[in-house]
Amino acid sequence: MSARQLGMVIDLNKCIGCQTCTLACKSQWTDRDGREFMYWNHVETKPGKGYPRDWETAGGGWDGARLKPGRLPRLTEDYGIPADFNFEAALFRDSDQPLRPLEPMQWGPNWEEDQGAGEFPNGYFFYLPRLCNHCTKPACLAACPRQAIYKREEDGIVLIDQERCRGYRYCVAACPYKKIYFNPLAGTSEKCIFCYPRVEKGIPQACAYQCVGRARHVSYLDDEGGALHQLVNVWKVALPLHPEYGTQPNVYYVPPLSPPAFDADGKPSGQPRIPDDYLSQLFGPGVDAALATLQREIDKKSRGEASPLMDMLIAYRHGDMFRLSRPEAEKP
Amino acid sequence: MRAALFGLLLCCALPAWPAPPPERIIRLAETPGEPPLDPAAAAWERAPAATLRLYPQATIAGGPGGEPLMLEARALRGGTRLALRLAWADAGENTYDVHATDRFADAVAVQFAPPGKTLPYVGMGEPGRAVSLWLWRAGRPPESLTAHGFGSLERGAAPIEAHARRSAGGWEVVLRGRVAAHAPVALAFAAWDGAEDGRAGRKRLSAWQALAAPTGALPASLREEARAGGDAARGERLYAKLGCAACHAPQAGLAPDLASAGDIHWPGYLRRSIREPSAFLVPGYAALMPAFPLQAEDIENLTAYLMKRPP
Repeated sequence: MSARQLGMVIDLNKCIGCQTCTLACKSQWTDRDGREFMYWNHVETKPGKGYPRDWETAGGGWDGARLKPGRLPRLTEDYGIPADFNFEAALFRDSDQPLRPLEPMQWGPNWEEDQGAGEFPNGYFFYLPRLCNHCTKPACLAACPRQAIYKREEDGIVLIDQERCRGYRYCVAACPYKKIYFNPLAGTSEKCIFCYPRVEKGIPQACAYQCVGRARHVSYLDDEGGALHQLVNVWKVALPLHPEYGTQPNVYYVPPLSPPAFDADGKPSGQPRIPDDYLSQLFGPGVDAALATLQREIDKKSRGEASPLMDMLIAYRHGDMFRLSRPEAEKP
Repeated sequence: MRAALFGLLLCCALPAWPAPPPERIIRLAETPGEPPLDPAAAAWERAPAATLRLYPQATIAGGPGGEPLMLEARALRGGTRLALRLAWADAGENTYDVHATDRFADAVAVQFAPPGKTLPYVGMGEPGRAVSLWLWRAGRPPESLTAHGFGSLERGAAPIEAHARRSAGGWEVVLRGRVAAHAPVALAFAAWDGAEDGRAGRKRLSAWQALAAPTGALPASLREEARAGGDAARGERLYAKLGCAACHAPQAGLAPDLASAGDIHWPGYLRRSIREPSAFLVPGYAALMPAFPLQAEDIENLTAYLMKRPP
C-alpha cells in the first residue's frame, strides 16, 4: 500500500464505446516496437469473452494470502494479431476485392463488439473500458521473482522496471485482469503506466482526458473533495471490477442502469434489461445499492431537485473531473 | 542409476575423501589457437567429456520437478578464451518466437565462481560472492550476466558468443568468452526446457564443478571445499539427536530440504552452513537456525552424513 493512491472512476452509463480512450492510449504509448497487439486501455462489450479472450477465467489474483495460478494469453488466439489489410488491391486497383485482412484473424481487442447477450426483445450489452487497476495489493508485483515491479509511494502507480524485467511473465499469469502484456520483440513485460509522465505534470491520463463522454474522473482517494472519494466512499456508486480477485483495484466503475425488460406480453416487466446478478458478478455485492442510489438521484434531478451526485456524474465542466494537484514537495 | 549407487557406496567405503567424485571435475583441454565456436568442430575431440547431473530446482517454488537431466560438458581453452561445449537431450525444439506471448525458449547457462577458496551458494551466488554467467537461449543473442543471489541477475560487461545446433534428440551449444588467465576454477550449469515453460527458477542445475587441469587434479584452492573426512554414521546419529529434520524437511517448510544436499552442495558449503547458519540464508527462509555448539569433529561427521545421504 502506498502513501497516496491515484484512482479513476469510469461511469458506464456514459461510455458510448467510441474507443477514443483506446486510441488516445495507443497512439501515445503502444503503436510500435512489438506493442502493436497491446491495448493498455481498451473497451470491451459485456457480456463477452473480452480481451484477451476469456481473461476472466484465466486465473491469477489472490486466494487469501496466496497467489492463484494463472495462464498466459496467446498472441494469435487470445489477443489477436494486428492485421494488415489489402489496401492496395481493394482501394487503389481496379478490382472487386473487398477490404479484408491479409491473414485470417482469430480474435482482436474488440472482436465481439455489441454482441452482448439475451434474446430479442431483451438483448442487452454495455461497454466496459479496462486498463491496469494500479491495485493496492498487486498480484503482479508479488509474483515477480526479481522485484522488477514497484508501486510508487506518492500516487500508487504500479510500474514495471524495464531494466530489471527479464520477461519471465509470472506477472502476466498473476494479474487476474490480464492487463500486463509480454512484448515478444523487447523480451520484457509492459503495462499501462497510468500516464505517469502526464500525471507528474498535473495533466490527466490520455484515456481520461480524451474521453468524449466525460465518463472518467481522476483524483486521489484521500482527496475528500475529489470525485474518487465522493463516488467511491461517500455515495458508494463506484465499484471495483471483480473485487473477489483480491487485488483491491483502484479503477472503479459506476454500474450501468438499463431499461426494463419486456415480459411475454411485450409489456415492460419492471426488471432491468441487464440482470442484476450479472452486474453483481462483475462489480460485487455493492451493485444493488449503487443502482438504487443512482435511480433515486436521477429521479430527483428529473423532478428539478438538487442532486450533487448527478451534477458530479454529469460533469458540467470537464476540468472538474480531474484533481491531480500534489503537495509542493512531491512535484517533480 | 546402479552405477551411481555403486559409486556412492565406494565413496562411503573410503575413510577420507581426497577429491570430489569424478562427476564434479571437468578436465580442461588447451588448444593452441582460438577454441572453436562450432559444436561439430574436430577440436572438441581433444576435450574430455564430463557427464553432469542437473537436478530440478527445488529450493523455491516454481521448480520443474521430474527427473534430473544429464548434460555433457567439454571445456577448451586457447589463450584467454574459454569455450564450453554443452550437449543435452531435449526431444522438442523450443526456439524463441517473436510472434508468441505464451512460450519459452530452451536455454542453458554456465555460472562461474569468483576467485577465492570458498565457493558461493550454487544457486545464483550470494552477497559478497557474486557469480558471473553466460546464458544462451534458443533464438536469442547470448548474454553475459552477473548475480549475487536469487533475483539479482544483471547484465555483465564481457561480450560472449554462442553457436547452437540441434542434434538428433537435443541441443549442442558452444559458449565462448574471455576469462582471466587462471580463472575460473569452478563452474555450474543450468538448463531450461521451453516445453515445460522453463524460465527463472523453473530449471535444472548442477553442483559446482571444478575446472581441472588435463591431469584431472583438483585445483589447490578447492581442496578445502572438497575435503570430507567425517564419519557419516556418527553424523546420522547426531542429525537425529539435534532434531535437524524438524525444520529441514519439505513438509516443515522452515528450512531447505536436505535430502539431496549432497548432490548439489560441496562439503565446504555444508560445513559453513552448520558453523555459521545465518552467514548466508537460502532465499525464502528465515534466520531460524542457531549456531549449535559443536566440536569440529561433529561438524565433519554431519557434513559426511549430508554428503552421502541417499535421496
